[in-house]
Amino acid sequence: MNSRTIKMRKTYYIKKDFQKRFILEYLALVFLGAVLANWMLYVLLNKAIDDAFYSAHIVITTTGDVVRSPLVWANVAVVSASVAAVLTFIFLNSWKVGNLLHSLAEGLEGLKNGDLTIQVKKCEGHLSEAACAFNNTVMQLNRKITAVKEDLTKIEETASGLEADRASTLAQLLKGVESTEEHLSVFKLHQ
Amino acid sequence: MLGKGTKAYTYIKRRYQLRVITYFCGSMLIAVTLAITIFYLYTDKEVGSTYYQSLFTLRGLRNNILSAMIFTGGIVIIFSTLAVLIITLFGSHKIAGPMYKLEKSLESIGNGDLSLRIKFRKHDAIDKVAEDINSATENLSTKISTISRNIKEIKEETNRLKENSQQSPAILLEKIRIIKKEASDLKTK
Repeated sequence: MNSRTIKMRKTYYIKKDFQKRFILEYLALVFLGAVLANWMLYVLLNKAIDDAFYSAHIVITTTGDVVRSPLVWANVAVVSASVAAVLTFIFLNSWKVGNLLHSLAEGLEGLKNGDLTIQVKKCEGHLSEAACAFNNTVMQLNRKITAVKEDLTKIEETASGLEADRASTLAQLLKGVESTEEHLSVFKLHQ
Repeated sequence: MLGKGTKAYTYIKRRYQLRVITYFCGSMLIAVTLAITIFYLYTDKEVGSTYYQSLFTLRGLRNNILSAMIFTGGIVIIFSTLAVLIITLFGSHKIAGPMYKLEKSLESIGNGDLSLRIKFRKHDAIDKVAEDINSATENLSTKISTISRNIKEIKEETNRLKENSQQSPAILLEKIRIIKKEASDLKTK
């Protein structure tokens, strides 16, 4: 695999659903802002023109005098609303992702301490795939370690018969040990 | 240990959040400035020197408001859509990329690869979780390494006992007791 292919993989291997949703939410926000701005501007401008009809000969020299104030007010209002909306969206999205990662971190803390029964509760809804992947991982590890533990219990039971029949017990023990080795061989361990 | 007060959103880099917010607010300010300028230039006209001329110009302005708004809105929406597309595409990439890698890495760990070390890109927004995974797999790997090493020793001891029928099985029994204890550190269902 050449470096260009590796670079392309790094760039494009992403969660498309998440990205699509993220983009659509912000685009909806932009359209909503534009509609709101235009509606406000229309209402304010009509009112300003009505006022200008009565004072045109005294106050205004250009239509810009009529337009300026509603234009600024409508946009200030929309910018304020949009900034608030963007902040809400970003913190909401951060909270959603962060909440998932937080529960994953709690699960990982348990896993680090050897708890292979731990499950993350967030395995449902949007962005849940990582939590489900974690739960599957723990379940698979649990199965593998359970097999090793069962082997060890058998070894212990077999070893208790050493006094009575040494030769056959040792043969059985070796079998048990080899089975455990086989179960342990599925793990690729950190060097 | 995770503190009770550890807030969920701290798992996403603060700098990333601030950067996205700044980009959005910046592009919004540019869009609004653009909107104001275009609309103002489009509608600004002399009203004339007489009262009737000014009324006539104002009536014209009222009739032109909608078309001016559509024209301005069209330009601003195109600009904003492009800006938002670029910002969200790059913004979401910093989360969506590592999330994908996270899922794939968890799959490999589930298949027994405890040698795996996740490393996110320098600017990815969720690198703390990678440290947690690496730390968990390293701990598990150490525990299982110890069990593997002990099972090898049990095998060697069993073979020694087979060869020497006079040797006491006490060491073997002790090793079995130790390995059972080590395995019990891993909590299973």
